[in-house]
Amino acid sequence: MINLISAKVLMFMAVFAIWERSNLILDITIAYSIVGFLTITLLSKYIMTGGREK
Amino acid sequence: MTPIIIFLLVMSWIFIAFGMVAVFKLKNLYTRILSAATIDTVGSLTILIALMLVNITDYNYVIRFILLIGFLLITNPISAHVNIRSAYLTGVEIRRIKHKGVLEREAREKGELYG
Repeated sequence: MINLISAKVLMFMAVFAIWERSNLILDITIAYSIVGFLTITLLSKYIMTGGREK
Repeated sequence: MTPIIIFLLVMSWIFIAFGMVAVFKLKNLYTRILSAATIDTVGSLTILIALMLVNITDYNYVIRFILLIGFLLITNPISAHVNIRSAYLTGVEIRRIKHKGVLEREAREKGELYG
């Protein structure tokens, strides 16, 4: 679900960057995609190591 | 160029709509993650390619969109795999889909189906 949300937000940010004709927003979009990927990877690792049940 | 951009945008909307329907309709966690990740990747890529074609003459936009597309192509399958792997290793059941005849026989044996 986080993957879905981050993909939709990424698409929205890219469209907004073209709408505003701004390169800065595209840079932020790239950074957001990296953060989203890291979030999913680390969250999955946390769940695999037991999560809150430890 | 504009008809191509419009076509790509409409295709991405169709993909995203199918992905949303799949998330609600599919009953198994694994099929949901797989379909959502695949369809989101394709939908994102078509939107990004369409947006890149809007400003194809400005190399600042083109470089950034190429970076974004390359990053998405590499990381979306990886994140889907990590998700499904963590679900499997923590014990989420793969639901077995039984044949209709087997379901009817089991219901008749329990007395829930008459005839």
